[in-house]
Amino acid sequence: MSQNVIKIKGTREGLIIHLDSRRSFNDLKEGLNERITTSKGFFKGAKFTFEHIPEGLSAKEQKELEAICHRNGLIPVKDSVKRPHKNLPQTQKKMVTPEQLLAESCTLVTRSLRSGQNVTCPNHLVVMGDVNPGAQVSSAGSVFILGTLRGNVHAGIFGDEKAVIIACSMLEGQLRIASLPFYEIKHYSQHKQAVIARAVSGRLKLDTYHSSLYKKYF
Amino acid sequence: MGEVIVVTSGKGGVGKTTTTANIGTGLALLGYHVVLVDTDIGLRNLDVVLGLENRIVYDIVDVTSGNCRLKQALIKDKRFEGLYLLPAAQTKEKTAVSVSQMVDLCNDLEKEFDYVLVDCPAGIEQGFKNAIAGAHKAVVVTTPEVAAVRDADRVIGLLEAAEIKDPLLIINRFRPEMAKKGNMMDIDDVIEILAIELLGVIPEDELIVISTNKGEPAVLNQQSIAGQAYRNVSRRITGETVPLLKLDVSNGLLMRLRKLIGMG
Repeated sequence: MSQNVIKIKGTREGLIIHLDSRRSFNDLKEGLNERITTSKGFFKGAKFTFEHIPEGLSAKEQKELEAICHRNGLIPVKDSVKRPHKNLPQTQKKMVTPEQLLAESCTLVTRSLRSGQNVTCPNHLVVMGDVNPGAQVSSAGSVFILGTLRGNVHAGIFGDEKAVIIACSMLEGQLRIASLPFYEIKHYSQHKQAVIARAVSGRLKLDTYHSSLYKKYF
Repeated sequence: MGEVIVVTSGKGGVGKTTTTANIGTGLALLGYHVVLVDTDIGLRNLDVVLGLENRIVYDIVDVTSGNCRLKQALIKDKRFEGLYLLPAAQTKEKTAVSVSQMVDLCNDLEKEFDYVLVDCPAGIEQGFKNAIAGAHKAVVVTTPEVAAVRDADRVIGLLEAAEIKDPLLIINRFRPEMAKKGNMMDIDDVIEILAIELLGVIPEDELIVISTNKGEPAVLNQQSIAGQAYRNVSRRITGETVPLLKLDVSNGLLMRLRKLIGMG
């Protein structure tokens, strides 16, 4: 029953405890108690706020509900916890800095790039296809090629040396990261394993890709 | 309504004109009504390969600029029923024909013929744009060389951008013995890069040079292995399923195959 009376949602800023406004105070109190005690301290230390407080609830009753939470180690927040919206209003969108944008977004190309075709993107780039000889790929972030690389790739065009280039296989072409000297590929990946190119002490280095490398460099 | 097919490659000298002449003749041999259009204005060759160079009166520019009617410019090949050539102009430049004129021309031709084969000039400039303008389908010719494959790749990209979907690939002048030793790109290497459907593999054949100089397309020569390959390509264009020629490295088998074709 408590499942329906009390709904708890986790957000980045804290918990939002949703009170069913159709229920009576006693139902809510009982439900909240049950929910928090059965969670065995899972919510301990979390910030919380109430949402949809029933109109009939007096200030005293509201305090009582807060007290239940407080007793179980939850911390009340004065300003209500903001619910993340899928569609942020325009003003909030503008507040995202280019760095954040770079870190979080990614361009997807769902075709092979043939000779003479160019792709430049302001973030990370994923190519679902091959990059053929004579094709040029440039990206402010890292480049991931789910296919064979035979063309030119430049990652971190604005100087990000942490950018990497990963491809299922690298057969020929030229790699660049930030403003480091270019790297000429000469049949690196004979065995069918993914290859990663990254900057190591001012030079480009190629390795067979492994997830442990990933952890080390991100 | 016929089909307009452009034969293109990007790089020069890979065998576009030879391929156009041979596929066209092959289709005519199968009983279809075929017209070959030479769009290589200023550097016309298709007429020579077909042996029709001395019969040109009007050319493609005369047609598009209204100097003559389309029927007057079409040269009938007397050797077969149903093979025609619309020759290029030799004294003009590529810009003498516009894209819209080319579209109109292709529309007129496809009403009269089963197949309209457009021989595209090398390069990707005006001549190329004209040649692909009225086409529904494309055949990309390449040789198993890095430079030719790269140009073919570029052209395939441009064809896709022009919404000519699913071009077909012909690998010309293939030498199985060199590929086997690793001195030449293999068929699989080419297909892996270009990633389009294979229409045929034409083996290197000296008889092609002879037939081109004589003005008799190699498809007419039963001794020519390239001619056999082109006959197969023609049949595939009509929708028939024909297995690829077995280009075995051992000389004995090649000779046997030649003999077999000769007998057949």
